[in-house]
Amino acid sequence: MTGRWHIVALAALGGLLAHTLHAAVLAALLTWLALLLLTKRIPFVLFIFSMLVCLLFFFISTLNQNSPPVLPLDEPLQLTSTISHLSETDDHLSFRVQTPTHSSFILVTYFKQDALDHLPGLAPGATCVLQGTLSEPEPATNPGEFDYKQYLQKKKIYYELEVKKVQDVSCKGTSFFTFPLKIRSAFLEKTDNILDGHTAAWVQAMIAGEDSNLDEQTVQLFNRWSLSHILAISGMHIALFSAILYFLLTKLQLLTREKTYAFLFGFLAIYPIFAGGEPSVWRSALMVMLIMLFKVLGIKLSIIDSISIVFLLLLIFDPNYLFHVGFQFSFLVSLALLLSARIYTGSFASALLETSLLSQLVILPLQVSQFFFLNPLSGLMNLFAIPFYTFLGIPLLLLISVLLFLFPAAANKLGYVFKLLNEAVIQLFHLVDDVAFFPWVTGKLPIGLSVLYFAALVLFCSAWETGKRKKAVHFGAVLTVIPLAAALWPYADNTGRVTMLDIGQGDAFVVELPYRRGVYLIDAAGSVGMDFQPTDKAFEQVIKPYLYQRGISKVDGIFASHADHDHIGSIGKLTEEFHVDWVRTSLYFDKQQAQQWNPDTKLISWKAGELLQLPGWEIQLLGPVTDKSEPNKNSLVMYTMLGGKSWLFMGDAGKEEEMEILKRYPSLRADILKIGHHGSNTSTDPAWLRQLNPREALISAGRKNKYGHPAPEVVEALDNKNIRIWRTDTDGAVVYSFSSKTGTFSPYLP
Amino acid sequence: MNNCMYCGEPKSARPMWSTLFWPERLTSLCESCASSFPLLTNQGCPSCMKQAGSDICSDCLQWETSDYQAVLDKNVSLYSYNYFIRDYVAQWKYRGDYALGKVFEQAFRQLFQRHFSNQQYFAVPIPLSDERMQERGFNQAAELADFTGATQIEVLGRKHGEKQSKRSKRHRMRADNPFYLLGESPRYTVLIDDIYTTGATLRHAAQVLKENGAQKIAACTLIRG
Repeated sequence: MTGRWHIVALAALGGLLAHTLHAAVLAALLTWLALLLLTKRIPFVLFIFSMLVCLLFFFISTLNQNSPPVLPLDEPLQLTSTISHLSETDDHLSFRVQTPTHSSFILVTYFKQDALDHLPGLAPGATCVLQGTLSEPEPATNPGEFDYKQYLQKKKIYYELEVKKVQDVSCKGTSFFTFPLKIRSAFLEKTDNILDGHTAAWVQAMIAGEDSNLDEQTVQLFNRWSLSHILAISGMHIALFSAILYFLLTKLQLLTREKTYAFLFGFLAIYPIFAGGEPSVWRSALMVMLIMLFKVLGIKLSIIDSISIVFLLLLIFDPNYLFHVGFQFSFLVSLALLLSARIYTGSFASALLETSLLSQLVILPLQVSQFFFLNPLSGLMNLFAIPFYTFLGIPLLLLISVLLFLFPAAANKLGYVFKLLNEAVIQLFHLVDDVAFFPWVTGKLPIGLSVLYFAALVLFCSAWETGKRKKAVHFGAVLTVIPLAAALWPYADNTGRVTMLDIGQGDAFVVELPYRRGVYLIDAAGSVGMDFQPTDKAFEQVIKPYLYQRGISKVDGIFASHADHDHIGSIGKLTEEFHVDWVRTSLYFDKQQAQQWNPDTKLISWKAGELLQLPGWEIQLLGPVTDKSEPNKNSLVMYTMLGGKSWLFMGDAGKEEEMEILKRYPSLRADILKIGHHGSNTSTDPAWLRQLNPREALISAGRKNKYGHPAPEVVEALDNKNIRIWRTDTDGAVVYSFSSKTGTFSPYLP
Repeated sequence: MNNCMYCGEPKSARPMWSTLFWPERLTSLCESCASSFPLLTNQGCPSCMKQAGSDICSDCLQWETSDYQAVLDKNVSLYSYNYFIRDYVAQWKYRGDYALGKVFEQAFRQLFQRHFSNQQYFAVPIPLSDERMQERGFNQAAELADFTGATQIEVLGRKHGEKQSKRSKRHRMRADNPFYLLGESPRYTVLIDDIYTTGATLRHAAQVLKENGAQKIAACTLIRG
């Protein structure tokens, strides 16, 4: 079995994927194993064992699909459970409790009145009685949007509960097994008390795995440059900690070698719990433990055998780990680096380059499926950042952590040193980010292409390690062509799309012409926070991810129907990040609104009656004809043909404007009508519908919005005429895919 | 199963990119032992693979002027000779460790197929005398002939005499031919033996076959000594 355990691990992987991807995976896997046996590459025992493991994991993955327990929503409920995964930030507390049948979890949140507010008796392992109302987590409603519901489901969380007041929770007791978590709570508290905010946040993230206090800007910067692995506790940290501990204990002759092993063993068993229990931390801790165990027991297994066994152990513990991004990154990168032993030949510097290149290559499909873009220069940034944090940053943080308990004053002073250094480095990253961030937006990578990519990667590295340069160059070319193909695919695609994004209470439509002849937006709503101040949420969470997953990094133009935040609030960010050529408005648009927009974007006024001819698309402007000095009434009313059907986009125009247009264009018809003003009863006169005679209607309105949009009488009028209604509050985003003659609507939510 | 069949150390085959999905065939040797066999990389003498230049070597020229002229077309071998393979072969054939021969199966078949796949060659192992067979329990040449995949026929017998390895080169060249025919000689023959040292044994055997109607006789040996 020596040197062959990875085959068992691959068999387990195949068994799990067969259920999520396709049963053909199972057939392919069994064929592969049979071929290995027939060509005498694996012994019979291993063949049988791998088959059993594969079937076992296939079986586990089918079992794992059990439906969530049915619990009553929207009615008060009392729960008693021990709590876990306690996490605290300045403004909220969250933890998990078990459902009554212990089959899944409920995520409990409490928003704190102030930073010192807390729930009495709340501690890891405590048993709590809770009162509250359950709700279901929100699913993604737009293509490309982060799916919070699915994210929680992977953690077996199907419900959320918000604790409204302190009295709704009473906790008591604790459990012995949670002592690492108690140390953690005490540790986190100490960091907050003794260190400055910056250093405290970094100590918490890098030593205790609590990243909720890190500066959001920094986190995003690190994400853009594929540096986020530094912010999470990873194999690098564990290896470093183990090495430092081992060195100190043996060199200072504090313990014998055997006792050092035992000590390290204990440390590694407890530390992952202390550090928040992320699978990547368990991955590396278990690996070091296994290697030590084998060494002590005199079992000679290759290091790849160890990582394979850890892979199996973690997946037996929880098969859902497979879908955990940190788990995927951790295993892929470690495996790639371990497999490449033959590739590193030269000096330390060249090994560093090779390591960096290999890690970037192996995580590319993950990176793309998560962020829809690549940053070609991120490897260079890693080249600088990894040594800095490995040899300076993390050891310093570790030293500060130790000093916290021994000499708090020294820890505090050293904290300032760290802050100084780290802020300088982050500042440097920001500078580079400003001048050298060229994201290559690839869009979504189809699963087939990802598989192809990994196949090419394995062949590329095989050729490299066996010194077949010419072959390596060929496969290297295939490797670069694959993301390129994904990015170029829309230019060969004859289908266009009109997408009504579910942006809450507001409008945002994306028009993608066939063969990517142009990408236009009709309105781009902004969002508002709790305090009614504008936020970037709509742009960052809906519009940008949608455009990125479609592989769009440039928007040709935006039609701004009128000067209201729920129609134009995201235009500023769009002009900053998507090289928008122009924004077209009515003659009566309040130019003040455009002051914050990127000056490179032309602001064009458009006169009613004019026909706009764009490459591959024509739009006729029907209104506004006169200035009514009210944004809604001054909405652009646009008539166009897409996919062989006539469309009318109304903005927020009302009944008065409808009648005026009918007067000017008495024979106007529209197959598809974007209902004016989110379905308010001030728009969409029955007479208007009679004349236009649409077959489908689009309504963009927020879920449970306070205006009651769409108005029942509008819905009734549409129903009476048998007009199919597509609405964002119930359908999520609605995509109209069209070719030259026809098209079909499909809602994002089932 | 986890230890090397020859040296007894644990085997450690560390997967690489090229062996991730398609590992090497299972071997019973550890990597260090498996890589100690001195593979012949140059063609050497086109007639006997002696590793001295690329012309016909002096040994072969000497044979071609002797009574044994043109009895043996050519010899092909897999390995050259070093201390490791000497000890390994000693363990295999003199101390009767039959299983050690198994590791050559793959490579030896490939060698045979590469050179002798175009015609209907029969594999004829150099036999042991009955006494020697009694002593060792198996004939290593017959084991090698099994690996070739060609039809094997035992048409030769051997008179008991002194071990070849105990004789000098001159002695070997002039020695009496110990082989005799047992059956009908095939037209195309590849003689199989473990080692080609001076070529005397193989030429003795070849001559017997040649005199009895064989047209073409070559040799395929594990080691070119």
